[in-house]
Amino acid sequence: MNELERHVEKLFRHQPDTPETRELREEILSNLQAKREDLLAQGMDERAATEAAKRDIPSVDNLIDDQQPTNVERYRMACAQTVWLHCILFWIGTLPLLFTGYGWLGALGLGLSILSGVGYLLFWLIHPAEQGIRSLAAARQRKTIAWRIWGIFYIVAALSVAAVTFGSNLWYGTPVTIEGPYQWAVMASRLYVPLLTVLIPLTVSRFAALLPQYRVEG
Amino acid sequence: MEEQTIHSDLIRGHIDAILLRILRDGDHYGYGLMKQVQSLSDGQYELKEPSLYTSLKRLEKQGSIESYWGDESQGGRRKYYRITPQGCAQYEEALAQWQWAKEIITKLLGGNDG
Repeated sequence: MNELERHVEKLFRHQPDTPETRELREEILSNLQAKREDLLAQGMDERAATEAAKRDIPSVDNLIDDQQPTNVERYRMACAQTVWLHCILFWIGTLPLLFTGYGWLGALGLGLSILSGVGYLLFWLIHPAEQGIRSLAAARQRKTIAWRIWGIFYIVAALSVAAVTFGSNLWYGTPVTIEGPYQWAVMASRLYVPLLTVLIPLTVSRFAALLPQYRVEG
Repeated sequence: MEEQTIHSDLIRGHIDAILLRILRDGDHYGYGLMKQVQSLSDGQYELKEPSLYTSLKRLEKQGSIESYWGDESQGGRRKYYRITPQGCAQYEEALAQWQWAKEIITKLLGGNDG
């Protein structure tokens, strides 16, 4: 029974949690369980019965109406606002670096914040009401992809920093030493800077989380 | 198995009407409907879950069937379906259409020769 529950969980992994999907989830599970019971009663062994029940419903993509009537203009505005807020967070995040070689990032952060703020303001001024269709599952998939790409990026960045910092030591077999807090700070800042780009997947995540809030009823 | 595939394509357009016919005789839940289809076709047609759910959703949206949750002693809740008067009318219409189509197509394909 648990295996069927897990299978249904997997089917609904990318689907939003709405009353509709919850009901469909329950219905599919109870029908799969009934099928399994029936096959067992006919003499099939547990393993085969469970597999047979799972096999008939490989995906729910065509069953869920994940096409959401959306208030596109408001949604876009909320996204523009998110970009702007995150630019500001980025700028704030660069402030500790002002006294290191990365001080220029502060200027970049400030510039981006101003630009995106202006963009958001323009949006707010030119603002026709409009509805459109947006796919909820696609937004969630973009979120997952954004996080995965960022994860890879950061691992590569961190490994590069490690290679540059400790490469000579490893190559020549000399002991790894960090002499003093300034060197610690330099290395830490090298690891910290790429970390700031986490705002990008966070932004994409936020876009996906915002979408259900802009659903239009009826 | 090849035969089964061909039949599926031909039958697919009629699944709504088939489900309505079964529900006319009594309420059923999902798997019960699948079993009835299998039994009525003497095992020659197996209705798959995706087709079943798509069809039930469409019929419910049209107002031809209604759903309600049952209390099961063991396992999860089952969703039962019952036909509505509109569903009965839809079934009668579909049956008449089919019989008319069957007659014409048989003539066109020459099924009555020899």
